[in-house]
Amino acid sequence: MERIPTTDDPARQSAPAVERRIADRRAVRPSTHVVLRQIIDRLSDGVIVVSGDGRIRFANPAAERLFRRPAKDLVGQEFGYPLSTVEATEIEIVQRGSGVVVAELRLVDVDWEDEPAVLVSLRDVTDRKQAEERERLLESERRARTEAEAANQAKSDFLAVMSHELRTPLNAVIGYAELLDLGVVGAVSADQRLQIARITASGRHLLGLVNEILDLAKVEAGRLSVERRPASVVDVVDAAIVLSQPLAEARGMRLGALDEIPRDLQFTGDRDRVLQILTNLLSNAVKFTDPGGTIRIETARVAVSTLRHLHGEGPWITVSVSDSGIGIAAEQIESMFSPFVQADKGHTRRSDGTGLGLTISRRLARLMRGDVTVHSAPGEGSTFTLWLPGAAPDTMADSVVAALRTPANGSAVIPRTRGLAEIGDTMVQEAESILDAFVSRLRGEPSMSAAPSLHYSQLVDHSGALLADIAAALIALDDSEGAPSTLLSDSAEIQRFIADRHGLQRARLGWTGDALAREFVILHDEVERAVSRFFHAPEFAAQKEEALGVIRRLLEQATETSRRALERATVQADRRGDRSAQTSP
Amino acid sequence: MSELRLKLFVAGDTPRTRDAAANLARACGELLGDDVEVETVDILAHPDVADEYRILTTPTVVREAPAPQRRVTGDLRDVAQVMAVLSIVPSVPGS
Repeated sequence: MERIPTTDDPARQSAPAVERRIADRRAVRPSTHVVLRQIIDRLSDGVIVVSGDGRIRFANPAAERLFRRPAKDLVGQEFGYPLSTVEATEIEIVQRGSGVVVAELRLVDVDWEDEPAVLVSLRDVTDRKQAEERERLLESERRARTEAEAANQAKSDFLAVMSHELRTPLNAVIGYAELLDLGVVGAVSADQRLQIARITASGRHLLGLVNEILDLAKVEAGRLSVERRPASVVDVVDAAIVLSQPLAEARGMRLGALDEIPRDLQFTGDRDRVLQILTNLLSNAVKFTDPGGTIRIETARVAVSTLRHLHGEGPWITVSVSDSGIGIAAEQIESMFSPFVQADKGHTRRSDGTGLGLTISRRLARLMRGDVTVHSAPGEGSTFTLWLPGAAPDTMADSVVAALRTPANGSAVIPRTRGLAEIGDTMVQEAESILDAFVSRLRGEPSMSAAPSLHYSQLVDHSGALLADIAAALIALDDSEGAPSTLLSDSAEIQRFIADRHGLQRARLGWTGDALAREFVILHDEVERAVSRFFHAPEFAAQKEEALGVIRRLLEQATETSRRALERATVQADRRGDRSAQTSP
Repeated sequence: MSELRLKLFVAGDTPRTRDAAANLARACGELLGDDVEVETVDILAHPDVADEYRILTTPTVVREAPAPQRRVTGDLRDVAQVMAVLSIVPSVPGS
């Protein structure tokens, strides 16, 4: 019922006055035709009337919005005679400015001003098309992940078998050679002893190579886990020196730490893996330095680092191994870290080994959230530096694994990761309904006045990809039983990237930091709601709590990253604004 | 110069636009032999042409010749219907 327009409270008017007003109102009651026009004008679907000659006779406000042209530009314009063989067909609408939106077209034959005409109703289905496209992408992503997981499993099964198949006979060869050497089966002549020594040495060498290749393959498959606990720098450096000393002495060199290393200096990582890296760096230095050359070991504590692969807060512990060897040309430096490459172009390959040592060292270091870097120039020797997180406060604040730690003591908790993959899978399957709920809540949020006018795709932006990667992190955590893996750190890196882009996009839309934070709270709400809906049974309680904890921390990190990107972009936009204000007259 | 010249306006290269173009060309060929020329214009690649013809929706077929210009838009799968609206008659009736 329409309200009768009154200037006063009708209750206070006399009864005859009210009756008179109602009578007046009836007198001006619009005709059916006018009422229909009013309805058509209020429809959210675009409605146009096309006469038999294919020209537009009428366009409602929704059609004006759809075509981005005023009705006066549309009426009289040639539309073309509209055809449809089914109830609704899809067409593209060419907007002013050459934008294209997909619309569903329905036709009804009508009489318009006593002539036969066609009423064309147009419904914008761009959002629906994009949702379908997104679903298709998610599906192919899900399939790709499943395939990758299967391939990964096959790789790691193969490794387990190969590792056994290669090592067993090699150990037999070495073992029997040693038995011969001991004279267990009879006296051994000096000549025979020499040949047995060659068998043993070659066997050990081969075993070393097999171990290296298997190590690398394990790192690449994300199957190699590293510990992360505080350990003494001086202990591991001393151990590496002891291990490398024989090789160095054989080549007429002495190894030693240049400075006294502070005894309380600690790193966070896997002591055995750090020892492996340092031994590799030292043996490289020995191999590539001429007899009589010098090799120096230095350690330092660095507060901040600008290295790309170091994401934590610092401080960092560095252990540098410098040699006075032949050095490496700038263009060869990066390729040195690729598998099977030695910097042997331009000079003879004079060391043995697989060329995997540096590759493995760097990957191991990165697994510990550190890195291996090199500084060198031909003729000036080389310095290889191992970066490791310091053992001081939690340096892995932004890592995925950090999400599993209890903040109180900072030590790695052995997580119950079983079942996380299931929750991750559900997140992917439910992505669309989560995002739908997220978007409709954004549109209803009073603090986001701009949201209702934005497209679905603009509102969702990177949130879908972010959810997919958080789901991937859950799956990777389950897969590696909570240990750090390359899959996990890749996932963390992608999340950072996506969150950063998201912040920049929100800055372009003019959102405030508060709106951004609110948006993430809503997204978190919706994810939590979806997970809780599927895993409400008591037997899921533990894994649900754990997954929600991981999701919460990852979303908090994403919020932080997005907020920083938003601030950065806003500051830049302000500066540009200032400049153009200065230059414009 | 063919007697009948048609321009088919499409937006981008999608399976649907390819179908529309192929359908139209095949039907025209069957009906009219060599006497027809069909040009497909992608409005995303040639927005200026779309402007010139004041194209509001795609797919749209414009009969350029013979005059007067006529156009049809929407679902073009029923080629007979398209031909009827564009007043195209087979040049060899009954074949």
